[in-house]
Amino acid sequence: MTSDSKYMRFNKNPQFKKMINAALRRSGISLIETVVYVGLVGLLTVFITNSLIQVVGTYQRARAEREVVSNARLIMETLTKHISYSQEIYNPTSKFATSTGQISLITQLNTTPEHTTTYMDFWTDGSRLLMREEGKATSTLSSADVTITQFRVEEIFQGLGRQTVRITLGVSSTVLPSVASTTLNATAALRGNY
Amino acid sequence: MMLFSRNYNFSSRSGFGLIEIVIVTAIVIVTLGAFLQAGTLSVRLLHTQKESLIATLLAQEGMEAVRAVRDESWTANIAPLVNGTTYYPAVINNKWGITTNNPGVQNGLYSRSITFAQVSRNGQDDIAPSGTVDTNTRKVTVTVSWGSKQEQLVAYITNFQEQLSLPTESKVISYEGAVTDTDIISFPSANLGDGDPAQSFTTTNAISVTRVDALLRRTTNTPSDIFAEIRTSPTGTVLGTSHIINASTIATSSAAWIEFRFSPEVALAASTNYVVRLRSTPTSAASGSGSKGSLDWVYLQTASSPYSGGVARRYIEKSGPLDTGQQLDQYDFGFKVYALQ
Repeated sequence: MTSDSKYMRFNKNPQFKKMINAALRRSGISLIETVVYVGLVGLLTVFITNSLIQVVGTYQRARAEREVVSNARLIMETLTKHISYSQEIYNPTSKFATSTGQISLITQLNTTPEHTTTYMDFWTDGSRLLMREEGKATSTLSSADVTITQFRVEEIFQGLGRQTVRITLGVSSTVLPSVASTTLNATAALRGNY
Repeated sequence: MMLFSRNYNFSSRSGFGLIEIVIVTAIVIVTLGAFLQAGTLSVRLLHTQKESLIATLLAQEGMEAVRAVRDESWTANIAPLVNGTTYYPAVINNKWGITTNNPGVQNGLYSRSITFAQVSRNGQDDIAPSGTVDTNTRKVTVTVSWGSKQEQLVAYITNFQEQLSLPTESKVISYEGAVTDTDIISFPSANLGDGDPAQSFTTTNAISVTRVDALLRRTTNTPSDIFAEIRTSPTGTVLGTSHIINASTIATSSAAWIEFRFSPEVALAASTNYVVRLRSTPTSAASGSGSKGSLDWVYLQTASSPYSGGVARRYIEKSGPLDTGQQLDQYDFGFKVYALQ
């Protein structure tokens, strides 16, 4: 340091001496400063991480809610549409008044050639809502992100051949069941294509 | 001068770093805050969406209820309704009804009401604000409201069903003199396996049974759901099983004729004795099944038995062993058997 010619040149300058002293004093403060700095940075990191977790949590919740709403809507629309289009309920394979219900419909919708009616089943295996059309493979109406907690089918007769079906559907998110869930009621009358 | 400026940089570098951190932090916090707000907003919107989906389905259900009672009978169910009065759709005795008694909130949040309005038609027979009043058409408004929000459905219903000639049913065998409303049947049993009650009857002609009515009154809050069976004897072959009645909808105030529907119809031979047996889910005949009581099946007791064609029974298959229950020789339960015309 002393070998620096520039330093040597300014060494005798009183103003410079003052500055060096100040710099030396400053270097003492910078240690406390470093401690404060590290502490502050740590605090901020914790705060930011926490906020980030909160943001992620909120988005996860939004996603769960969206899955529940869209699944519930799709399932209810499909069910009420097919029930109101159907002619009759096929009792031997239907399960009424239970939370793990099943409904088999005799419908004129999407019939196979040379047949006037076709069978259609909707049921739950305790976690999914399944649908099968006669002669076709089973398809799942609910997505893997939701669990079907309840699929209750009740028949209400209003007179001879005047039948309505009341459905209670419970849908909850598979990941966050306590946060995003819903229970819906819908009623559809069997009208046989009118 | 070079050193001076370099020195200045050196001495204030840590200070500038702090400011930098503060600025970066501020930006990050603002960004995160914005994201958090967007997320919270989307959750709130989805909640609203969920609520309006539930409300829409409830409103549709209200409309379906109106159509169902219209299909049953325009003259009996729709014609007497006063335009402008607030009505409520409700399942009473396992049938849809339009009543002035508010059944309370649906799904714990939504209140649902129905109003009717008269419909006028112009010279072209089209629906118009003024003209001739059409008594065979009504405007229906179903309103579902929750909090400050509401969902409304409007539709027109017409009396077209009564113009159609549809199959009809009529009462063929019955005992309607039952008046004693006391619990002698312990049905559905409160988890004790008390078995089922039954009433036998004798046919005159060969019939196709579409429905059996039983005079029942609910005495507890939520009894097990019930259904009826037509059998050759109390524990004999099951000829037909009715649809399941939500027993919670059965009236508590006074006994009502509860309709048990048989679809398809049950063919019975002429001059033969058959049995109507009430069942429950879970079964009342097994103790520990979880069945809950109870209902009154209104009866009458006379020394000579009020209905000569049959007899009442209780405790059928009580707690396991396959038995035909206790025969109540002097008793008969109120019942009606309807057949296809």
